[in-house]
Amino acid sequence: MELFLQYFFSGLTVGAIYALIALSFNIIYNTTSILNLAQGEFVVLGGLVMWFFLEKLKLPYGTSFLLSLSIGGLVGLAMERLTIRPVLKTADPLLLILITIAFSILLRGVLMFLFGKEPYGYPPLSEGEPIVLWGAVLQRQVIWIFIFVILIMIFLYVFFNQTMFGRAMKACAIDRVSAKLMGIKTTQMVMVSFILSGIFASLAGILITPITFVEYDKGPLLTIKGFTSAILGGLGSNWGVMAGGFLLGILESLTAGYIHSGLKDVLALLILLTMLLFKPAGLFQTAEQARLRKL
Amino acid sequence: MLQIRGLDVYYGKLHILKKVSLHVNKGEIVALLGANGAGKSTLLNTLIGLIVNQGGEILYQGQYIHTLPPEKRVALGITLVPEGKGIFKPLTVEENLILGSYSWYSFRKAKLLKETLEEVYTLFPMLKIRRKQLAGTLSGGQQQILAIARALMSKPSLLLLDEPSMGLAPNLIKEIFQYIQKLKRELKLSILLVEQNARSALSIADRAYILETGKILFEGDAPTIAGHPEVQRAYLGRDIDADVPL
Ligand SMILES: Nc1ncnc2c1ncn2[C@@H]1O[C@H](COP(=O)(O)OP(=O)(O)OP(=O)(O)O)[C@@H](O)[C@H]1O
Ligand SMILES: [Mg+2]
Repeated sequence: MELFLQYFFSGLTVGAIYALIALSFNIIYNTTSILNLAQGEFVVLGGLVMWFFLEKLKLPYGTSFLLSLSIGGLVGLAMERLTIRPVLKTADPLLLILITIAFSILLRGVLMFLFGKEPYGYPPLSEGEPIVLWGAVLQRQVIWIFIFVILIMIFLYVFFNQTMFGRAMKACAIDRVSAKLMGIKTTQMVMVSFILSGIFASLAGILITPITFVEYDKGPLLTIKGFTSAILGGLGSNWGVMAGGFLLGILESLTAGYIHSGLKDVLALLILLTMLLFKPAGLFQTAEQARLRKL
Repeated sequence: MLQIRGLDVYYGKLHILKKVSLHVNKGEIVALLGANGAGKSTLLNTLIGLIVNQGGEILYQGQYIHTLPPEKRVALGITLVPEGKGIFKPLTVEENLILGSYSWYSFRKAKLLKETLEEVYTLFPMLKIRRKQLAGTLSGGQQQILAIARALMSKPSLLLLDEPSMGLAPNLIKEIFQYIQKLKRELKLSILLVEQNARSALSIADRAYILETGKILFEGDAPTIAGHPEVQRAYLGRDIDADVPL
């Protein structure tokens, strides 16, 4: 039982990170129908930039944290301005997805050039003994990760249900033409979605690095994990994809614990293929609901 | 109020609107009639800026607007209720209405939003009762009313309606047309009404245009158009709601 709980907690931890990546996928997907396959690189960017501010420049933790999030958002903005905006109107979705792959290669190259190939790490948000809960050990950073995920959920809820701007983004996701008829500038929504997406993905990197270290080429695997989570939970719904993230994290951790740790990454690919073949709309929504979202 | 001169619109190589000229005066209902595929929706979509015209000009309140993007035109007071209503089905009735105010809303105008919402609810009490309901669960007629109400939320001076009676039962069509008349009378709106139900449209319109394969064929006062033998033969003979005079 303790062992199970231990696996479960570590699954929740990884799952929280997957949930954030899946969320960043979804936010862009909703406004543009693009799958941003550079998402994993934004996670790496968050971790590396955080290291730079915290360890290299010796800035305080909070300052480094906010600066790193801003860089994540800014790179998201730059990506949208330089690579997506110029072709969004004319290019078909496949070309746009290829562009995001090109951007991921570029970003990875820049990160390798700036940081080299070695792994980076820094201390967790708060030092102290791990917490023991029903016999399972929980690092303090994990608690922080959960706190941040809950904060993000509250933010999403308030943003999309209580603010005009969030509602406009939802409208844009449901029906772009009707959104335009409301006077909504849809290109602006696209821009904001890239900024938010960059922030959420780099937050994932900032939070996970004290636990797992980060190196420049971790991006593609994280992209796959985030994408699998999004497909598992059903692209389109923020809550769905986040649930997908936690589910994938827990399944992975149980597989690694009870069967073999080498199967962990295979499992994600297996889930991805199975879902795409048999239930592309995800576990929590019907194809009809998925279609309604994307008109 | 609105003046269109020599409008040319193409879909690729297809010439859809051919030198169309038309105007709407302040406070009048103008009906735009024509068969399927004549280009009526294309004209409205061009007016709001979803489609860009290759030739001609659009003047609105003395200002050229044909180079402006849709959001600027909405901000100037033009609103389109599109064919098929375009409501946000997964959102609640109230969220749909709130989105209608996007063009003028700012944080400081939260109070004005509440008031405008109440005004619209007074006009359409049915929507107030159903305000928490998902828009997709409304009946077709209720969705059409929601679409019109949402358009009013933008505080327009010119309302473009694309076949508001499409797919509705005759008694509902009558109700929608009565609402449109009310908008003109009480809110002093100028309305450009695209319809296939020519007879009903002509009965509430001040003037009318007949569009045929991208060209204006006839124009004139609604009674004159209604009495025109060729119009009667081509457009009024097979009116769906011919038996339901208003
Ligand atoms: N996206 C498009 N690409 C190419 N041709 C189009 C497109 N949309 C419409 N058309 C063509 O333009 C012409 C005018 O279409 P439009 O929708 O404006 O007609 P309409 O008068 O609104 O007809 P209806 O009464 O059926 O709504 C039609 O021949 C149609 O086939
Ligand atoms: Mg039409």
